[in-house]
Amino acid sequence: MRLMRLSVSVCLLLGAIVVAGCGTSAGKHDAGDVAARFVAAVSARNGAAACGLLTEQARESVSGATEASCAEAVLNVDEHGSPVHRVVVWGDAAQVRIGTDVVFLVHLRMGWRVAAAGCQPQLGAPYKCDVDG
Amino acid sequence: MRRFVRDNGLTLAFLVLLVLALVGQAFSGVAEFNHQQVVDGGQQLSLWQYVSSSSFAVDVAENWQSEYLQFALYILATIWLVQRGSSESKTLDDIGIQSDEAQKVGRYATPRSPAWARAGGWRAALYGRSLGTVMAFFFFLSLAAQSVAGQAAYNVELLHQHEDPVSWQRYATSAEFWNRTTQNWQSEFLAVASMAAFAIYLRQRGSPESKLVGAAHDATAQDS
Repeated sequence: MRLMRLSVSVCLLLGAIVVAGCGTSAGKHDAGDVAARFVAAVSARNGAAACGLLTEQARESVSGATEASCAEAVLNVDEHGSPVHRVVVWGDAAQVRIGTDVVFLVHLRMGWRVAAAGCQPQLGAPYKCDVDG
Repeated sequence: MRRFVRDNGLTLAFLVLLVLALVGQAFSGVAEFNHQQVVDGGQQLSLWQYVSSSSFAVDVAENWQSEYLQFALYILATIWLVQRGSSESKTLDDIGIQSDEAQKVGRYATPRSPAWARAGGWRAALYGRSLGTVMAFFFFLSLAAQSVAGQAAYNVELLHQHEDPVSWQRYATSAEFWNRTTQNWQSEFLAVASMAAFAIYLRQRGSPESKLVGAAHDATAQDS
């Protein structure tokens, strides 16, 4: 009986590990929605709205070494408003394919924010992104 | 109660150490994880969020699978392999699964033998393989848990680095998975090899893992 209880406890613990291992998704729908709003804001030339959806590091990378504000610099990102056709979420990170673009997001206290946008695949290396926070 | 603790002290002591080590791993792990989150621009986690994350899960599972593998292999290997002079080995003329008489199975069982050993037949055959089977079962279960949790933790890392996530099949054949796995295996095999060899020449008075202090170096098994 004691052996059975110990075996069941080990199985339950490993089961919990598997469930935890699947990662806590903060919502594919929410991540896709934020990515779509960012792309729409850039397409509509609304730099302030687009910058409001970026992480702090992404806002700094958009301005870069120039004196241009985020709201001005972000409009240089080549975005085309298109429907979201794939959202992948793992833990607090997400990848959204929207039109021909790939957007990476991270889930913060205030919700999903864009960490990288205008991303193009590089063989055997991370995506090269116009906005890279 | 006092008798229960005395009679089960070995198991209880190591279960307490297991809990303490897991708690220590949780606290040190969340500190390291949150430091990395600052670098990656991610959200910091509370202790409870961290212990229910894939990152903690894979770190636990990868250690558990290697421990169960060590014991499963050790239990099975010591049926057929011997080490002259070691307390960890059977005597050299005892190689193999041994006779029913030596193992007290079937008609050779005593009144105090377990029921399935007394029953003989398929029950005794199954019961006689239960220890290695259960260890192997928990090894495969832990390895599966490691692969699932590991894929999730790896994909979080890939997305933070702006790379494509991978499927479970790709993760299970990846360098990341096998690096984690084999670095645990090498330490387990080192421990068994060390124990088998050290037990030839070294002694620990009072421990059933050691030969008697006065036993000869080439005497094999504990009671020589």
